[in-house]
Amino acid sequence: MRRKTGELVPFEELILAAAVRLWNADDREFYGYQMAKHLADEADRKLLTAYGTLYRALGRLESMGLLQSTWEDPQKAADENRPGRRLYALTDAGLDRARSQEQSQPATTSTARGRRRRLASA
Amino acid sequence: MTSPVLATVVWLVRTWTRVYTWNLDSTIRDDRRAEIDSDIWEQVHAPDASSMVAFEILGRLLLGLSADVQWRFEQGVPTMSPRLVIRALLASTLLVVTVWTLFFSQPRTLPTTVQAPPPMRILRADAMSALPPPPPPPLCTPNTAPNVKCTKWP
Repeated sequence: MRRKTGELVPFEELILAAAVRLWNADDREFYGYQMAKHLADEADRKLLTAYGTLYRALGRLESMGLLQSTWEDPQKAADENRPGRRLYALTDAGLDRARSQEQSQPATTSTARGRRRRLASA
Repeated sequence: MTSPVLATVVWLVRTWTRVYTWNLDSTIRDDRRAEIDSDIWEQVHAPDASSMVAFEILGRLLLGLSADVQWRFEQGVPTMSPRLVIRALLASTLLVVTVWTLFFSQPRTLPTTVQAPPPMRILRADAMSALPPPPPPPLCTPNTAPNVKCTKWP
């Protein structure tokens, strides 16, 4: 079934919600592996999101203007002896979309850890 | 030192990435390849990387195959010559066969010895007594030949 223009699939909404949480924690930029690790940790699972799924979703969010990406300074990557990272950041539109999404669906964005914390404190 | 399994899995991911980004605009192609290379490096060198990282990477590759193909077609229908199509198919087949051989095929082992037939039962003389007695000879008739044993009528 074709999705409507501007409509996000659940995984893309998950990425936006995670990006806002990183934003709120002063992590304004993230890279693909970091996002996959963050999502896996929040869901308490070992296997990270598949490459195809993750980077297709990030590309779609960028094409919709909700994320923007830049390649980090090559010198920084060379100094740390690793390949360069593609850094994503929320745009203003992405931030607004993520925050309105958070307000409209507060219960569905809870994570496995959040549920366990609530159960433990009950 | 990288294990052979990890090196093979990383090679598989890179080869598959090169296959589905073949003949794309160079910026899009190079960006995707570099992004995947970076992700692999980060996962292998993460402080909490597990000993099963090769299988985790393989899982991420296999679970995302259809999304990779969909992404490829979203970049535009490739204008590939028949020769390039054949090369892409051969590369994909090689990828599948390599994964199957490395991780899913079970080695077939032939039996080392031929099973001996069951031993023959040799009946001893005392065992013969346990056998039922032979049936009596047939009754004598006028047509019975003189040299044939027969039982006289009671």
